[in-house]
Amino acid sequence: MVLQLIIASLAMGIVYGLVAMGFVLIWRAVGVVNFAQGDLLMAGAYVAFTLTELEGLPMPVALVACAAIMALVGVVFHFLTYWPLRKSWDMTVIISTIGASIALKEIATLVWGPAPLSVEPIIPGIARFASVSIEWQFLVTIVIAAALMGMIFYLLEKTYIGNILQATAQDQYAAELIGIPVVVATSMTFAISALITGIGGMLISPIFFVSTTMGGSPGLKAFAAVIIGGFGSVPGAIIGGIVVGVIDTFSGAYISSTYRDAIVFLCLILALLVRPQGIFGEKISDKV
Amino acid sequence: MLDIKNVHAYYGNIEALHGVDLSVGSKEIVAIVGSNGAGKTTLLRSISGLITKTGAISYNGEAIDKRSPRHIAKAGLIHVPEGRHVFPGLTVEENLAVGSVSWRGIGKANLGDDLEKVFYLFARLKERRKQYAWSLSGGEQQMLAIGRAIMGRPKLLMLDEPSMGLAPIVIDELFVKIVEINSMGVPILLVEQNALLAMSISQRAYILEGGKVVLEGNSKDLLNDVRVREAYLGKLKDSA
Repeated sequence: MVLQLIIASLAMGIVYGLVAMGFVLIWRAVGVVNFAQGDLLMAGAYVAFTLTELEGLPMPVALVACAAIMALVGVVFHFLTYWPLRKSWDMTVIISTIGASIALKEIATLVWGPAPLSVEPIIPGIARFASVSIEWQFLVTIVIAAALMGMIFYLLEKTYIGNILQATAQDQYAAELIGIPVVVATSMTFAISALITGIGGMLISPIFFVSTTMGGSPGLKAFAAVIIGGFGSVPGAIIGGIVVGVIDTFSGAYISSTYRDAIVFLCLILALLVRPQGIFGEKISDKV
Repeated sequence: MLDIKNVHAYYGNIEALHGVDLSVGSKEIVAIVGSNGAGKTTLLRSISGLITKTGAISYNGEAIDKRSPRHIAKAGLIHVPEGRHVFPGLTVEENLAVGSVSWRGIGKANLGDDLEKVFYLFARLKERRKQYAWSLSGGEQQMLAIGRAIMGRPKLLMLDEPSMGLAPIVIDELFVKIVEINSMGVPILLVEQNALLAMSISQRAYILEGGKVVLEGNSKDLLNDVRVREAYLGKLKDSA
């Protein structure tokens, strides 16, 4: 039982981690919290529904196609919600992401209808290891999400293109002066953010029903993960996501499934009281 | 090679430059001197394409006044902004690698020779190559900002207040390097509040006041000009 719960909480936690990473990338690139992050997860789930249930694509193809479509969604999102407003006050951009959140839900309702939809697991059935039985979907979720996180982390930290994206996020003014195409760099960051969040949605779509409001709770929990992990830190987002996943799943199983959300946010308040800067704090301490 | 004719620059409706003419030759160090608010930084920002302006700016005969900052960097005019602006969360090496973006784009490139040049000039950066930029001292950050510009293979280097906030001994070291960069064949347009320092390493200088060039000439002559001595080198006169 405990082992099953651990696997389940890791699966949820790593998805929260993906969404949290999505939050952090946009936060670092343009300095605003994207209130539509959870809705990008919802969009990923609907895209996955279309690709697998309607088009009947084989799973690996659907995964890559979903990633590509969500990256494109990220670029469009960038040009509609951020780029025209980049010179205005941060609050304007934040309001525009709230608008985008509403718009994404309405678009989903128009395209896929208001009724919740169900998606088949990537690998259906139960895996049995000795006396333990675990849903394959949880294992698949952990493996795919971890691989994706690893790839994004490598891209950002170890490659020249990743360094260009980071440089643009850290100092747009200097980036422009040394000749970085800033618009390409910021839209690419939005693409990565939407891609990882959307794949998160695809991975949890067989676990929950796909609905227009499905992004709300994971979005908030991922935001809690960002705060617990340390605002602006990518490793913090991942660790924070797993912490939230564990609290979420175990409190649901042992304390109360009705109040699991409340317990998660209670823990967030405790974390803020004990360590307001989060586990990793800010990576960049500006030197004056 | 750089020619500026009758440039007026604007911040919104406010005119910050009122018709500036300036040129930089292919081997020169040219200083722009003036007090706070005289328009020195605005002039560099106009050349880099960061603000709206009228007038003509050409580089090797080619008009660049309508170009974007990225294209101006691509043409080899690299601007090291006031306040250094290194990328704090990247290492020294990563900062330098990113500096090559103007000519390299996003492709692969062999940076060996370029890095060697920077490390030859600033040995300290080589020692600290794996360190994050935020952890460097002010002087080292300035070296990194200039090093990053050199990675962009500049055909004209524009330095904005490189001495700002640095200790005198660090400034001396830095200005020796600036002369050395120039002797490698890179013309330099140097903006400085420290007039004596700027004119001591430059061949020519322009004195800006209220968005206009009020005096220009050989740095040596300007250093001996009564008006200049009174306005900018007062302390020198007192101590003499």
